[in-house]
Amino acid sequence: MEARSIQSGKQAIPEISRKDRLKRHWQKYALIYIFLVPILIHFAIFQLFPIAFSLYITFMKWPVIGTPEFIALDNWKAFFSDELAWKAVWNTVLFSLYYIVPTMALGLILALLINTEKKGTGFFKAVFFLPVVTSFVIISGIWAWLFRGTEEGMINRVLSVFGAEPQLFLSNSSQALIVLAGLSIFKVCGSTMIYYYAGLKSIPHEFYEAAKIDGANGWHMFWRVTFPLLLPIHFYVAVITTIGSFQIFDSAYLLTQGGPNHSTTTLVYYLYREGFTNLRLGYASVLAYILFFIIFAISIIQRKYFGKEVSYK
Amino acid sequence: MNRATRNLGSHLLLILCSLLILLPVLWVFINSLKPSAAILLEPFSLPTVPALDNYVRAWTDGGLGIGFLNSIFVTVITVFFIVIISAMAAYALSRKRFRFRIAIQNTFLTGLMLPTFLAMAPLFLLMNDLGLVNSHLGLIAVYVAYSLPFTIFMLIAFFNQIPHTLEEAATIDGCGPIKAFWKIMLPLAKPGLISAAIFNFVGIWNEYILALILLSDDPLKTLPVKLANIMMRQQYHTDWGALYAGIVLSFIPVVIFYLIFQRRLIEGSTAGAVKE
Repeated sequence: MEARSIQSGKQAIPEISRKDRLKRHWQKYALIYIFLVPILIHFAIFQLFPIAFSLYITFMKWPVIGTPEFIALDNWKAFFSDELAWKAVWNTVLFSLYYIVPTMALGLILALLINTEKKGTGFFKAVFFLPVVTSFVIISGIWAWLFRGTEEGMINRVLSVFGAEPQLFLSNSSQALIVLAGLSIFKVCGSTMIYYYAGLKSIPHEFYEAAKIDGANGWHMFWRVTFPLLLPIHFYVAVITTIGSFQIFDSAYLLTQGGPNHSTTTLVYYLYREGFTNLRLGYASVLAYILFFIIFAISIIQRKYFGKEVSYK
Repeated sequence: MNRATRNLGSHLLLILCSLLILLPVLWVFINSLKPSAAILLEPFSLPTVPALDNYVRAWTDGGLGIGFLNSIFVTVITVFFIVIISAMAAYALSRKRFRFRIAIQNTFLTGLMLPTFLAMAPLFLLMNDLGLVNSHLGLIAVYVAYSLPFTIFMLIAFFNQIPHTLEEAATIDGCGPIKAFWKIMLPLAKPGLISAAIFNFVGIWNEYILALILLSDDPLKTLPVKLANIMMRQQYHTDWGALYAGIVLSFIPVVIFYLIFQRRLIEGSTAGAVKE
């Protein structure tokens, strides 16, 4: 470049100003190059690249050790004839049916209870939120004892006081998934409570006063005023609990290992087992995509039917 | 139904619900002080002599001691980097106007919406090729990447509320943008940074599935993985005492942390959901 600018004096001026421009550009945007670009690269390597790469490996037979082999759509075809995979899809759907509505209802009830602002509600709020910050592993450890399927299990002892037969709970294929849903409800409803609590606080007082003048009682007030005005919260909570419910793994892995009789083999548990126990990483990625499509479809449907912007001010 | 009975009713319900949470915890604590045989045979008895050897076994044989140190190390370093790095990115995105700003913001937003498991298998392969499997460094790098979107958006919202005037004054005094960030923005943004740190601390401290996949050497495993190992072993090696002691030991740091930062955790958890 130096040589060229000496050769023809005419070009020398734009060359300098280009250098100058570069310098000015640097002065103006240095912050972006120093602060933002390295972070973006880190993010791309560890999060974006694996996601893009996972689509690629769905077309491969990819053992952890050894050479990957291109097998086109075999992994995808395998999914459609894999009965256990469909059972895993069904179990995941079943789990969310057991989980979503109770978590929302319980969260709303707790929020209404603490919203009275009486003495001690702060303490109760703190207690209800405690499971939210506690790990699934700790809660699973406690529930393993609560729902032990023998006579020594805590719930079975309580049941025996009332003269009921001891239940198998986690070892019974029709009860295990319900117990796992119960565990998740227990862990998450404190968080939905806080969302509803914030929602209740944002409802203007005039609405209640107007309803009172019209002679509405508490029951009517709840169903005609509070419940409909909480619509944006219902929507938000529904979306996050749905997304959460489809990713259930920890408790299914720790308490039941997908059993008994595959009744708690959820999609993420099955994905983990195929990928990291059976080392079929390509097939595991197909399962990840199936799960992703399901979540994506559901959030679009939810958005379409319940996501209308609501404003009441 | 008059007001007094209704008050009583709602209070009773509140007490009942909190007992459902607190009683099992209390029961686990009481039984963690009893020898395993007593736990099985007389689960409702009080310990005569506290069996502290349960705690010793959980801490040493169960590996909770090492797990605890690993978790502290990984969590503290991860949180430190997440907060600093996210603050840098959020600052650039909040204060600078440039051509790809919206595109970059949307890139981070995608990360917020794509679930972790989608990348699990390839992430393991990538880490394997980079030689980062079985290393705390690798786990920290992944944790940082996965926590960036949430933290960046939290801090952008925070930075946007801070007026530009102070930085402008500093720039006039000849202070460069990077110096302005360290000397003016970071101190002003302290409450936001602390909230971000607290949230990420809880998330990373409790994280299980990535630690399970990425760490296989026993001396490297974090607390949740160690506790899970005690639980798994429990199924054929009946040491209830050590299991309950392990649960209590893992629970104590959570409770202490929660008692200190309870208000921030509860109030901050709805950030973004409810517009004031």
